[in-house]
Amino acid sequence: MPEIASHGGANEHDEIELLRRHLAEVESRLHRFYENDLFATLYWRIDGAVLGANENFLRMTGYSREDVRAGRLNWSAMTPPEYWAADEDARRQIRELGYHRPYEKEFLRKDGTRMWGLFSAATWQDTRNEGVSFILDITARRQAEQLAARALAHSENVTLQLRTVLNNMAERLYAFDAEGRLLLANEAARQAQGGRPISSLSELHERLEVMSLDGHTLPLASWPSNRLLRGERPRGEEVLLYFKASGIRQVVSCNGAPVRDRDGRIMLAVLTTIDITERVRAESELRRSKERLELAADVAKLGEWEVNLLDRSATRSLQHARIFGYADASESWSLGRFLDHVLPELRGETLRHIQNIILTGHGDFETEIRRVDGETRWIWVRGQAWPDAGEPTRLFGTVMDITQSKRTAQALLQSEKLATVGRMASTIAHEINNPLEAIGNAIYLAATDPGTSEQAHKYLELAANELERVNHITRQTLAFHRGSLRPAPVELAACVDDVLNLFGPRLQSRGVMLEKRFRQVPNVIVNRSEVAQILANLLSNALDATPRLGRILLRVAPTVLGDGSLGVRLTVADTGCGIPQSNRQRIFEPFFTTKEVVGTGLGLWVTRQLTEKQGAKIQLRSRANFGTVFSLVFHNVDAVAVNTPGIVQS
Amino acid sequence: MFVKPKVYVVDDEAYLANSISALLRHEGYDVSTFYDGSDVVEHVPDVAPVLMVTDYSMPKMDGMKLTRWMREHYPECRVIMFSANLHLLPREASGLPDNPHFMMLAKPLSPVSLVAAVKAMTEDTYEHVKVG
Repeated sequence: MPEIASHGGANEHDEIELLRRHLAEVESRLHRFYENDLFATLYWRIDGAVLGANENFLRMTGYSREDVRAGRLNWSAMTPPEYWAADEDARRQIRELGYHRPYEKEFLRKDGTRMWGLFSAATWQDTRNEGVSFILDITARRQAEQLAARALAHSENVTLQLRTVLNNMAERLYAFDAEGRLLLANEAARQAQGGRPISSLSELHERLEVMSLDGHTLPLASWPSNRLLRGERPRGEEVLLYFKASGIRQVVSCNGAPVRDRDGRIMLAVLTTIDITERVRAESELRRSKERLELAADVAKLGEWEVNLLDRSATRSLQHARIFGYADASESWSLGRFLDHVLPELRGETLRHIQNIILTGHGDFETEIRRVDGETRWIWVRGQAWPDAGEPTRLFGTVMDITQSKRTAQALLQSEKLATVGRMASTIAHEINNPLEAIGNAIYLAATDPGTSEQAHKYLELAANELERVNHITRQTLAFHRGSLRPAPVELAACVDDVLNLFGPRLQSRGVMLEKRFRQVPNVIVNRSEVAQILANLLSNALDATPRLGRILLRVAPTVLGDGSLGVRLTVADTGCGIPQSNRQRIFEPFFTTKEVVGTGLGLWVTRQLTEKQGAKIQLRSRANFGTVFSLVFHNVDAVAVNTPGIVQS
Repeated sequence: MFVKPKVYVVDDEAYLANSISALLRHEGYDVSTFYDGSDVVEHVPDVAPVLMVTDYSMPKMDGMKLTRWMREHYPECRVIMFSANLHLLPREASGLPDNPHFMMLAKPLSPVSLVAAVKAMTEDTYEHVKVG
């Protein structure tokens, strides 16, 4: 501030002029101070009346200079009640000291909104009732502070939420530092540690084995956590955990990410694992049951198909294709192609069945098809229309090859018939047995009667011979029907001769030469009628296979068995067409036959069953176009090796 | 002195029993004919037979039971049993073939083989009787 100097000798006018200029200078400076941009300045009375205010104040509060002149502004009225106490304290300070210490408070603008100010005030020198206040607008700072406070509160809230989420999630979450120390573990992770919290990976390593799913134990360096610390990211990697203490095994899926510092060094590894044991188990269970289902469909020879009724196109499974004789399902399929396979005489009926399925929504039928290879097969078709209500657009269903069971049923029927016929023949034979014997006795007595003429003798001899033929037939019929005769010593050669007697006429009519080579052998302990049946089957086959003027050899000879003991070998050899290599495995199967029209496919099957029942083995050697040799090797031989006197077939 | 050996013929079919009896009488045997096993037991004959020729299946007492009864009362008597169904014989019959005094034959029997069998079974007793 310029100094007011007095100069001796200057005139009064100059002095006054100087003073005025001086005063103007002060006033101007004061005014500049008063009207600064920084402070709001306010003249007041201690009772709150506002006596004057600068532009800055008016701008801050929204009042006009007119409002100030009219005395409409009152400081107390501009102060919200919560600051009245602070104001009172300021007044007290003013009264005592002539000023108050700066304090922050809010006050009201003309429009009622609030603003923050930093207040300081002092009285004039001569009075303590009036003074000046300087107000610094700190609203912006205050808002920033509030925002910061709110942000802080918010971030605390977020942290809390995060913690809640972490502790409630099913995944175990771990955070390890670069040295493998555990920094954080959520609730799930703590529970997995079973009440004995770990503090580092090496501690975890003592308690836990980590294995790959194929069962190889992973070294610590290969654990997902340690690979994370080297910067790798396991994405859903599945490992097997084995808890040494409890013996529990778990499959877990691992996820995680390394956290790097500004220089790119890994400072943290965050790893989550989730127990997927149940899921893996359920999946493998599902896989197994699916495999079982496929296997079942495969074993059941169940084919699947689907027909689009709009364009009659179709799809089918591999098994379906195989039933129809295709190697695979690659060729296109349709309803028409299906019908092409159906035997012509069954097509109309089959089409009606299909229409019925479309009409009623579902159904099934049997039909016979011709496969690609020409073989005919019985199939059973089940179908379902979709949608089942309204006009169906698709048909789907299954198909099954039922040829085997059809043939079984037919064969069963046939064997039933055979058994019935056999029983009937046996009954008849039995009934005529006794009369035949009585007749025989009568003829014998007549023939030995001294009064019988020479001529009558000849007639009686003829009668006796013819009677013997009838006797023979009844004996054979009965012998074949004696299915349950217990094993007894049997002279094989005699048994062979019995059967040959039956085949005599057939051998002759075929012009087949028969050769017998019987060597001395012990009796075999067998069921005679069953051995006769076996022989009859083998002979019958040999006859069918042997061309005119061919040869059949029957041989009975001792043989040395595997254990060094004595056995008996019976051979039926023919010079027939032979059995192709491809059929040799199958000829003993039931229903396998090469005699499509006349064969039941049961002969050799029955033969093998019967042979095994005798404790004997059947062997086969064959060469195409040269012939076939069937051998029966009997193990149960009569140790005494002599003909027992007991049962004599007369 | 020549004594005819005593033979029993047992069969429920009367014509067959009679026919066999005639045949054996013709061959020189002293034959008693019965029409069931029970006939033998009820009319206990005076003369002990050296041989009995019997059917197996008979309505009241079958050949097997009759054989056992004969064993008890005439242990020396030999037995020829015939049947059309050898396989239907009870299990114990399988032990009998070893007994030289027991023979089983399958029906129908030709007269020649029946006579041969009867002769074979009675040969030694016949000699004995003849000498004694």
